[in-house]
Amino acid sequence: MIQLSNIEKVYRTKTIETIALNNININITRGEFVAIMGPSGCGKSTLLNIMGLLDAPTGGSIIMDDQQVTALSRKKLALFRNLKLGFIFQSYHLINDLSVIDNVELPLLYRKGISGTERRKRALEALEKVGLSARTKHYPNQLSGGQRQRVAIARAIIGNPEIILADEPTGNLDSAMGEEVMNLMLQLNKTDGTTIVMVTHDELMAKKTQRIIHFFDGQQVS
Amino acid sequence: MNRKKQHFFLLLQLFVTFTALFLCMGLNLKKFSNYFQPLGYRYENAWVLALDFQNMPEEKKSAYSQLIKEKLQSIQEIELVSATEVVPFQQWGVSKKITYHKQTSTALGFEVDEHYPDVLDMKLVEGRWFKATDYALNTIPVVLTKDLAERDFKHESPVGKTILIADKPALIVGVSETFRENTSANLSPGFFFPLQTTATKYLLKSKSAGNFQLLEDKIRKAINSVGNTEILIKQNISLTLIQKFAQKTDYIQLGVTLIVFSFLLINVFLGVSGVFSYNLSKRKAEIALRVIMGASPAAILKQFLGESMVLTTLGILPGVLIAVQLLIMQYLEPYTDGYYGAISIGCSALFIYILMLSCAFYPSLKAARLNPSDALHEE
Repeated sequence: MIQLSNIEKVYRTKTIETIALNNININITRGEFVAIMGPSGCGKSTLLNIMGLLDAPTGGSIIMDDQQVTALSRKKLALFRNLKLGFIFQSYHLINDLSVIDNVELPLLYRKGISGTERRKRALEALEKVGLSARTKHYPNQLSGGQRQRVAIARAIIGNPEIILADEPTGNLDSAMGEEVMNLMLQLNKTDGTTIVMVTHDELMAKKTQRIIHFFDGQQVS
Repeated sequence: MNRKKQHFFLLLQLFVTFTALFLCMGLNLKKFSNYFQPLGYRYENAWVLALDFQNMPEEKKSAYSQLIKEKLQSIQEIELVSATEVVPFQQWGVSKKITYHKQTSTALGFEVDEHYPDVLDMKLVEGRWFKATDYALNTIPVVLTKDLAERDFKHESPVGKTILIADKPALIVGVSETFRENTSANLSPGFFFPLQTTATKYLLKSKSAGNFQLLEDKIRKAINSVGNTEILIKQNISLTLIQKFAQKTDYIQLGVTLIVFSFLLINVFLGVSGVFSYNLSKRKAEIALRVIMGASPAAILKQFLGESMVLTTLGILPGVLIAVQLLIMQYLEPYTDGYYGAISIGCSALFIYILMLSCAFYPSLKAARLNPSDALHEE
């Protein structure tokens, strides 16, 4: 599903060259739930950005869903992200001026051929899946952290993506809420067969996934 | 400052700009279009002589006036002389009440003599100009301008009809082409009628517009040769020079308007661009999120330009409504009418839309090129 070969990411300024990722080779199969662990600054989020096609690697190639994506234009990358990828962030990144349902609908706004009614219907279904169908008219600042993360999950799954990239999704939550969110992701993986790549610091959460990849100083160590 | 307050100030700025733009255009567009309309006469070979008879009694004044006309007529370079109270670009007609079929309206009365149309090469549309022999009649012979004839007589011919001018009967003997005070003036429906008192002004038609100095000297000598020191020359000048002076005043007015207007636009441009840049910098995370969710650069650009267009519409809408109301109430007459008013509304709105697009374009383009991971990281 995701095949990273010899991925390198180097940040260059006039005086300094920082190697963020060095010769990364990862193969994630369809339906797999993978956790990426490592200390802060080891390159986990950089890798997730590269997998999410938000950042381009300095070297190497990425094949996703049998498609070479390294050389795609910005427009095609946007389309690919919209159709195939779902994102969950540590700090939720919801738009405060939009209601819960409008936030969830967001990815479908950029998908052609979906009417407003269809968008609303799918958003309600997604919210129901995460147990928030009673909060559709609320605004993000009226919700708890766990509820916001569930809205973010609903937003990530509304477009039926094949891959979900989660960057420390339980990092801002207490253990009970973290557990709840983790269970939701496990369920998505199990019932829908969604491939999930999760960056985490939490070993307990990571142990619930099928595979853990460890990073250190921009290199994959296991 | 929160977003609602910012939007309020932006909308207020747009409203003020639209109103200023509409007034500026509305009050000048008709004037500008007048430059392309015919004056109804030719002034290139005309010369103006204005005299001051001081406290001379009317009878003596009349005799001297006749003598002066003869002296002027004897100058080789002068083809025709007309005594008049109406000088284009300088002294115009007087508003008078006219009554036809018990309907009263006002029109400008132009007090001239029988040579006036020949001096200014004016064309008649219908009938004839009044002659010296008409003066003996009990009715005042008058020539209407075409626009007055159309206004008061619609499709019927006015020639041969009698109207009342200030309650005195007047016989319409002809219809002239439209007659405008100057290049920027609106049409002024009016009528020509014979001089009622001794004229103090003369319009002369010179044979060529060449040597001004020579003609001026000859005219001065002709007046001096009359031998009355009471008669003073107030003005002895080519009509072309008077026209140029009148036009210069117009240009100065227009120039000042343009400077003020440009200043206003620069101000608005900088202000609105600043507001847009600030707003978008505050929405970086939102933009990044939209990009992550699959918005293409073009979609981001479209969204923000679209937002600017919605704001523009909301900002100018009250202005448009007020402008339409002013036009319906004919509040801006005679500077503008429904036709030019509507054009001014359209042009002002279009101009503001273009201005707003140009203000929003660069910040929106920057938003479309935003690197989402950097933007979220900053957040």
